[in-house]
Amino acid sequence: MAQRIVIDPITRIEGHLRIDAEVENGTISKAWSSGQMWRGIEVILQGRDPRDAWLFTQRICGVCTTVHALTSVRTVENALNLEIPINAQYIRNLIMSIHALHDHIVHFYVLSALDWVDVVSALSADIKKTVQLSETLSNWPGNSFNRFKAVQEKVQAIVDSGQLGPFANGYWGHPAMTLPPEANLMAVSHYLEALDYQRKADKALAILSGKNPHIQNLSVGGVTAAINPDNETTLNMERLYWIKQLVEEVRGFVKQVYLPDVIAIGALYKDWLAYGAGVTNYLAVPDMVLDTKGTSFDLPGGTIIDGDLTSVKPFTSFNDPYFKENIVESIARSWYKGDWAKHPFEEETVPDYTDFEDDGKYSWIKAPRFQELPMQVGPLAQVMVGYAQGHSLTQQYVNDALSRVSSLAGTKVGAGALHSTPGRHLARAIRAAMLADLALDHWDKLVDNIGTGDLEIFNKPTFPKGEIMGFGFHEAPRGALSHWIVINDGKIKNYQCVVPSTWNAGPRDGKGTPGPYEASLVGNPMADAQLPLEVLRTVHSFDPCIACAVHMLDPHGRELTKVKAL
Amino acid sequence: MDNTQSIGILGVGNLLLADEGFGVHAINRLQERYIFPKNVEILDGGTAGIMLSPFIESKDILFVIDVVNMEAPAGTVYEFSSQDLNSGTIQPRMSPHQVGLLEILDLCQLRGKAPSRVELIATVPADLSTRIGLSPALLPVLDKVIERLLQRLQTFGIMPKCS
Repeated sequence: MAQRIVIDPITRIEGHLRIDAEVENGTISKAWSSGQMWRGIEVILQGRDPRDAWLFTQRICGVCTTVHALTSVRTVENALNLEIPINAQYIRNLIMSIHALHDHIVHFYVLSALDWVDVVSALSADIKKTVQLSETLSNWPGNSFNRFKAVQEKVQAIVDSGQLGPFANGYWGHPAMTLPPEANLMAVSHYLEALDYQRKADKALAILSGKNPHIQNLSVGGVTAAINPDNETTLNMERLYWIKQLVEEVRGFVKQVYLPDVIAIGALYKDWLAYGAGVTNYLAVPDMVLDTKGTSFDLPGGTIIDGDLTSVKPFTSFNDPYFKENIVESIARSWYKGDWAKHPFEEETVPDYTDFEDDGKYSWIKAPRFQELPMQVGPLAQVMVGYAQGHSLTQQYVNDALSRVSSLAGTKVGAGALHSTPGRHLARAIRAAMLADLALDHWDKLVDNIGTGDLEIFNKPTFPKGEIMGFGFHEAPRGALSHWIVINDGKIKNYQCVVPSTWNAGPRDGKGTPGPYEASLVGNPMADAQLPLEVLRTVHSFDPCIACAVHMLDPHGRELTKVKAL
Repeated sequence: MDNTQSIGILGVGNLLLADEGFGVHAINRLQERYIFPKNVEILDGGTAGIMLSPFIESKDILFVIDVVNMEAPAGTVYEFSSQDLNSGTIQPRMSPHQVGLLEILDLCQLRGKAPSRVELIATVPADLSTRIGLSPALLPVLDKVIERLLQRLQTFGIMPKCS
């Protein structure tokens, strides 16, 4: 008998991702992804000064703030054909890489790790064996007998008190939880340490950008972080070294803890490498800009169609027509008036709510398409596109990670396994390691350039009479983000944000083709429809980030999963 | 009382959803009206989630002002210690935004860095629609909650001056 599962976080606060899935004989046969809140920022921007847009757009979110700020200034600069000083480019690169490091660590440990790690099982771990396991993975100083013992005692105390705390929403004892107790204990210890390292990244970003979340040091034309090595109130060598030290500590955690943990989980859950591929068309944009115009990058972008690495086609500049001309958003199944698919410059945003209709409109999220195809975006797309283009840093990390997964799993695991639910986590950890390396590289580039006496950070924008258009992109933690602007007489006429979670979480299009979340769920196993752990694993692997909310205090906890038989 | 203890007052909530922003409105009123001694730090925690953990872990005693989901008339004031609350049974999170305050408190506890005492003062909301400002039912509750907070602070030897 088919069952329908609805996962809809009902918090009395609007704006979440709702997932509906139909389950037949222990396997998901159909899925719907629905955004439950309308983002009206595009309407708010109409008629405003384009130089202010970045401050508004970063308020789209409280997690992915920086990314909208950065993309917005790039968008207006693109419309004006305005280059920015190289110092500003390097500072923006540091901002983007440090922000992503923070985001990836939080995503894995706080949001996703407990999909795979059974905390209660850690209580039966043998501490000596846990140390041995951790030593096969890295030399992290935190992997000590005393540390693991202390963590086990703390977990025991919490379990004894009956207050499972942050682990209360885990699914212990679920049949799909199959890590050995020692791996669970090690992961819980790292989970607790992760909080310290995300803070270090957070701090580095705040030193650089004045404030976090919602940075304050960008400007159309550059940055407002004045550089003066002799002034204690500006960006000087003391601050730069402080940032460097923090990034180095975070890099240590990423390379010795986060990446090895994900490698171990991939290997120990090797059956899962067969699930969750979904849409294997990938799209990533180039980033970590190396010149003032945006024609040279340290991270490659491009497209891959049908998982075929030989189909890779790069995006090569901030003006690339291959990117600019091939994107439309479809609203056939979204709560907007009409059933069109239009280019972002041409779109309007007129809401038309109908309630949830399986065969009609069912989401506030639009469905972006590239040459009419749904595309998966995110770290996996970026890693795939880099790997396929022979980008050496990507190849080095991917090959190393796959060989470590293979040796732990006792079977050969090739790049094809990346098209999967654990593959998305692995790609994210690989991307974090690459960004940590690149952040330090770009720190060197910035300091070397300051050393030549160049302190420029800003080129003044001038807005012409009449209509101009521009677009900007940025490879954000959740994938390719683009903003699109039409400016008339120096005021915003139209603004559209095509965000990564729109690409991934978007609904079906006019042809009925499902989006990446929806496609990735079909074929997933489902041991117990009342406890839909498998759905969460696959959806969380995309790092969903749909809307802002905070929990109201609830003394009793709430039931968020509705299950009904069809 | 020991004046070297570090005391935090944290108001949380979403200002854009009417009464959901109660905790933030309370912080604003405290800051308008009072000057606290140096060992007391006041924070508008908004919807900051996991980013609140450094503030929480730096405090010996923490007061939290929030709204609470209880079957009771709007404006009813409840007080809890962190031991009274359970962060829930099965709550599948769909985004990093959904890391709630109780989970952060528990996480700090597990790291051995939670404040030794946490007191929550919370009220039941009347209106959670999208708009800025408290509902008529909750406006008078603001002073009631602040008065209660000041009484609790007094037991720790804290007497703010009026600004």
